[in-house]
Amino acid sequence: MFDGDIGRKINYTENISLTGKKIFLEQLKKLIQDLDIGTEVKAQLLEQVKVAQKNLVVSEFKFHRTVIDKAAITNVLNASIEEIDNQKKRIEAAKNEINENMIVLDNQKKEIEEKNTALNLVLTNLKETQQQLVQSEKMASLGQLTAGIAHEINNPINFVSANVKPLKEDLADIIKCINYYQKTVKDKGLEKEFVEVQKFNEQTDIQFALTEVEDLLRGIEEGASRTSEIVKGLRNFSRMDQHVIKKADLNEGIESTLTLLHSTYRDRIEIVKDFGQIPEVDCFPGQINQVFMNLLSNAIQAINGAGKIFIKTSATGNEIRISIKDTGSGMTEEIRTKIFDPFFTTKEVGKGTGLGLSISYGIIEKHKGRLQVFSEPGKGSEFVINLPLEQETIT
Amino acid sequence: MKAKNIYGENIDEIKLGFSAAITDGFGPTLAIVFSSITQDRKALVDFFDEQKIDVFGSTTAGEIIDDEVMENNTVIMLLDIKREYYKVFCEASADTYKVSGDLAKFAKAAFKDPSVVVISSGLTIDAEQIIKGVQDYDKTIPLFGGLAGDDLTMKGSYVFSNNYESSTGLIGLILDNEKINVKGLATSGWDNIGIEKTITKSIGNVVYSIDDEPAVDVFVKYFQFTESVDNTAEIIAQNFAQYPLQLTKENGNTVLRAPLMVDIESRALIFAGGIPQGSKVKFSVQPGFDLIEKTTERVRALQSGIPEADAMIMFSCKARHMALGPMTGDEAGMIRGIWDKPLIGFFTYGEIGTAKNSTCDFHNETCSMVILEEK
Repeated sequence: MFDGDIGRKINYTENISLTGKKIFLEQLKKLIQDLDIGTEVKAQLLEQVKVAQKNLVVSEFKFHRTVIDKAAITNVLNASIEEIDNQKKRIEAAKNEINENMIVLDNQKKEIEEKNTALNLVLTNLKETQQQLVQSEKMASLGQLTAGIAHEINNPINFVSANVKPLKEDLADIIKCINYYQKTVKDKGLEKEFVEVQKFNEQTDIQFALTEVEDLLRGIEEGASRTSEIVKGLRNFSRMDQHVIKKADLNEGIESTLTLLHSTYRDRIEIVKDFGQIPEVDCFPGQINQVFMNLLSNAIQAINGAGKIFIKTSATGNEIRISIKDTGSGMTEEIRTKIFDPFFTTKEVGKGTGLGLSISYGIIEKHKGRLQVFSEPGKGSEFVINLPLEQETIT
Repeated sequence: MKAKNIYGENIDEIKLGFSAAITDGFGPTLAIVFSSITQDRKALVDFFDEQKIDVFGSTTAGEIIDDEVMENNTVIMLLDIKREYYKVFCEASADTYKVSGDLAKFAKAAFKDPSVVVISSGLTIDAEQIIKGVQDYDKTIPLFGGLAGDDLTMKGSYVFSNNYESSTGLIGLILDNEKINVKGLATSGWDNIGIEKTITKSIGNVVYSIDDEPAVDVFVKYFQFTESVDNTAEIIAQNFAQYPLQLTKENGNTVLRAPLMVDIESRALIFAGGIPQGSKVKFSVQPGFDLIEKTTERVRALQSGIPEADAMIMFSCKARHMALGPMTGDEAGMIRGIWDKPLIGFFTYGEIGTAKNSTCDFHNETCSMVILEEK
């Protein structure tokens, strides 16, 4: 430690050795002066004593100066060392404070990052919700439109379906009547009298006409029947119950969806159905149909040319499991991890919104279910939906 | 140009010395007179007036003549320099900057290419203003000199000439470089020690606090080696002046600043030169007694530019005298021995000169040499 008094401890009394030399030189000087020698020799000796005395003064000064300077330097250096130590301590303290602040900052940063992540999640959810709302609204409008069309078509097609059967019966009666006329003419030998009628029959090829009428009626009947199926599908798909949980037959929902998509896969894709005996499920049927529509549309689009789509439904415990598997192109790991992201699409610009699977995922999640995907490039994709049989509440 | 040195403890001894000097027909025109304040300056000036010799004079804090150091004496260098080769400028003014500008103007009017040796009062003048005043007028004028002493009484130091004496003014010896070769060098040799400190409060050359501690207390803590300190200049000189502060100025020059006086009431130290507030300083000490050899070698470097000198003037700091003691004479003797020509000088309260690799500045603890040679 620095001792402020160190300098004052210097002994200023003359160095004993130097004092002794001083006295000695003075005595020597006196001795030379008293000597009975030549003036010149005496002067030389006295000059040498003078030089020695001067050297002694210099030595004395150097001694004192050195002692004082040494003390001064010691004082300054000790103080400097103490100050450097203090500075070191201050730096150490500052360093510790900085480290503590860094830890606080780090924690704050982590907290901010966590909040940021949470906010991003909220933002993403909000975006998804917004998109879902938009999509729901669109679907609701589409549903209303579809329901309106189905209703308008349903009545006329019912007329057609209802009239085909009596028309067929009436036609059968007419054919019977014509056949009776022809038999009577032949049995009574009245061919000559009915030559003109026969010619007319031959000209008009009445037999062909009658056969063709039957075929046409069957066509009308089949067309009316299929139209009824489509209308039924439309009505089923566009159920106006999207905001109400209802018991729904999911097999029926899949069938309706397939009916609507029929034109997009017929002649090239075989639908292999393995529908199990599954109970009705608590759900928003319209939304679940929307999921089927998205998954089946994707499966159809994933198959380039001919292929198969396997649809299997089953019940396990309190869940319904629906698997939709295609023999399409499949997807890479990178794509697979992103397909549920909003706006992610592998389709050409303008051909896909990138919202279908994101919305589907949201719908299944809302139903407290799970939507999983299994896929490999070139080996097709399988989407598996697990839905609970019953819903407590859905917000 | 021939130079002869004389000295004496009184006017009679001076007259005797003068008579001896002119016996060979030597006819001096200029007397450089460095005299203790105890000496009768009026008698001196009257004597030189009678001899029609110009006086360039200053009071001292100790006198130097050749290789001897004296106290309470007068030392004189007599020069038989032609009067058209030099001019003496005298002016007393409270405005040091202005009067220094006047000095430079006077010098340039007298000679196309002048050198200036200047001495000013050592207690009342801000020497940095002398340098600024001269250099603001003309940067090319070589400037050397010192501040007058008063044997450490700190009551008043004087510059004087024929019909002129001032404790507030300055005196300049202007030399014609076309006729007189003038070279100079300021050299200290002090080494800095310890860590850097900050001047936390100062006004001009009065330093109130260092690192927020009263300046006096800081110096007392490190450098008070006597039993007690009171407000006397002698105590300051004995205790503090040998440990000047080393200051690096804004212009890049490194200078030393030695304390001259203490103001016990405000615990301030009055230095022999300005130390701006906020300056970073370090204490310094003389590195050892081989300093004298080092100083001599530095001055010897001037020999290449002035191989045959006629005369030498030495401005050596009083604090340097305190630090080197009886060896100051050895220093003067060794420097004199370089050219083996008369050397005159005195112990100052500050020196003006140009250090190696530097520009002209005001120094403390320095030996500022001026070497003269008639071309």
